[in-house]
Amino acid sequence: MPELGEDGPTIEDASYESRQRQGSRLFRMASFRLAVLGMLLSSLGAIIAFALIYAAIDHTVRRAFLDSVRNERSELMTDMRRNRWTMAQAVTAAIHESPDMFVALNSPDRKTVIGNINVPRMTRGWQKLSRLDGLALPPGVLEVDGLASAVPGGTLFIGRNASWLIALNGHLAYVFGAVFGIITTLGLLASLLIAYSSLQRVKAISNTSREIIAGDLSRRIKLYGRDDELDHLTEDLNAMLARIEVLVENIRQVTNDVAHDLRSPLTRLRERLELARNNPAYPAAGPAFEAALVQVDEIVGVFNALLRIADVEANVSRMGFAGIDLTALLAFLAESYETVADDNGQRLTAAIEDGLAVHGDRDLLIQMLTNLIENAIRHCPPGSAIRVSGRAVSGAVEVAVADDGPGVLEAERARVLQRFVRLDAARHFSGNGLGLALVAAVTALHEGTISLHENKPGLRVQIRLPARAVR
Amino acid sequence: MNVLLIEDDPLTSDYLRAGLAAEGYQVSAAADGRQGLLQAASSAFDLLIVDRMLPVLDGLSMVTALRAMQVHTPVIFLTARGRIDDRVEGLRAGGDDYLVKPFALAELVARAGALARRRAIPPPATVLKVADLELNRLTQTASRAQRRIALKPREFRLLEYLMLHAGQVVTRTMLLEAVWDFHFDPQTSLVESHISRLRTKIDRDFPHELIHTVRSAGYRICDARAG
Repeated sequence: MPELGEDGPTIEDASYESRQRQGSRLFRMASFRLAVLGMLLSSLGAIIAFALIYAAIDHTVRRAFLDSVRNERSELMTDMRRNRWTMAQAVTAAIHESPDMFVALNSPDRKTVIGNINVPRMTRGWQKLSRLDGLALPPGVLEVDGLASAVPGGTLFIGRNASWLIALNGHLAYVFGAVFGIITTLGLLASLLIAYSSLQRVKAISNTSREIIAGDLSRRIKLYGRDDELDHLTEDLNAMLARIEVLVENIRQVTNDVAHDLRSPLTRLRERLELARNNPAYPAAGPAFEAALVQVDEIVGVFNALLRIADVEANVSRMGFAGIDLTALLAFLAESYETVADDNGQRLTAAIEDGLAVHGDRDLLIQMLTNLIENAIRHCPPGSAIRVSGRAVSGAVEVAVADDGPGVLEAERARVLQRFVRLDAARHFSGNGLGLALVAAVTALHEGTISLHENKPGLRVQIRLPARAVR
Repeated sequence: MNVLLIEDDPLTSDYLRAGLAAEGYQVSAAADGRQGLLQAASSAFDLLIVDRMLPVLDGLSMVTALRAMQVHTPVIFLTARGRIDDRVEGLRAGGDDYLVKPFALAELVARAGALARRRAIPPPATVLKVADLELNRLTQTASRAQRRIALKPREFRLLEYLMLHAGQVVTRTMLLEAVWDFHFDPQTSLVESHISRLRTKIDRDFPHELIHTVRSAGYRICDARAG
């Protein structure tokens, strides 16, 4: 069923608009998003791994460092006891022996007594000292890590140059950063590749299935050969197509059967009535049989209209389509129906732009447009004005038949496109209630949209069909 | 006129034979496609009326075979199938006209007459004449008693078709197909309105009326005085 628009112009046909959005489709694809999500999770895993490694290395190195400083302190204390030095002498000796050590002895009032490092605020325990703490360090020394402990005579600080530790940490971070960057970039590229190749396969499936539906229902979508989920999907789609083919064929069969089953008795009925009417033996009965024949023809008319609608709805093949000059067609119909409207006391005018062209079935389009115009003529009182218009709107051709007659209530506008719906206000007019149903079916077959609008007063029926380039 | 009717349903066959005979046609009959093919190929008929659904050999194949044998007798198909593509199929197989059942006998008679005339009479001249009415197909003008008559395009085409079949009955359906290329039945008085306009322009102000309505059949243009 074609879409029913609200009051005012609406473009409902998504097929030729979505094709314009192909470019941004890549980033909206599920596979791209999933791939990016995977990449982000991997990155998160990498970060956690890097953090753990970093922490472990740092911890191990610093542990070794601490042990080494403790050793130094033990040695210093041992030397002091052995040689019966004072603390100050021991410190001096230690500095001589190990020039890469930083040793300082502070008096209780926090002043450095002796040492090769001046630590103004020395607290107990393990500390990391750098220039930021107000130390004057030799060039090339960025940090000194050491242990401060209470000794007779004050506080003793023993530490080592920890610059290489910082350099190590820096290198680690740098390497980790570089690896992380590579992982992320590769991950992003992989995501794009996955999305792109997935998009290609999906597009291939999508395009082929659209072609099949528009043309030959006996074709099937080709399998990729990988037996993966897309191939399984393709197999499922092919199974669906096979089912659709069977259903459409069934409809054709049923309509053919109905045609045959009902036409035969109707034909016989008509033949007998005609024979009876022509029978010279009962001339007075002639008019009665004539009236009966008119009724039979009316039944046949409804029957033909029903079959035509079913045919159009089931006819998914658009192979009989050709380029149609809609401007000429509309002008031709408007000219013809001007006469009929005039006989009805109505005024029919036309406003048709040049160069309107569509791709479609000429006979069906003629019947559709005729139904619309005749509807207006039949349902409007004498004195009404009817306007047939055709114009181009962004990629589509818009055809409208508008009148200033009784119109259709908003609540009923969706219903009137269904079969056999005759509005109460229109029941005494001629017609079988199938005209608009055929209009709707033909519109759908041509991938168009139909909408009914308030014409203030009256009704405006508007149909939009995809335009075809005029050669 | 010699007509071969190929129809398998005996009731319909009798009905059509009787109706055509009443109009002066000589009717032979066949009841299946093979018989029909043999008879059509061996004897000279002016017209073949062929039902599509036939036993042994279906109507479409039969006509295709006939055309392949270079038999160019005009063919009218009768069928209970009224699908959109069926008509095109029938015409492509070599049929000249196509009628969907049920149809009025008058419809068949009118079309048979039109086909027979098309075959018998040479290609139409540039100027068509009925009594003092003249129509020039090249200049697209019409006049009666030398008085120019202004006609709209559809009116001209309508008059032209009537005059091409002058003296014969032309049905509403034939006019819809020939003048408007409509292959369906409109729900308004399209044909009637245009005939009425035409009459106003070419008959009203003149002594003799040329366009006649034939009840339950259609229209005919002729000079009634000429008998």
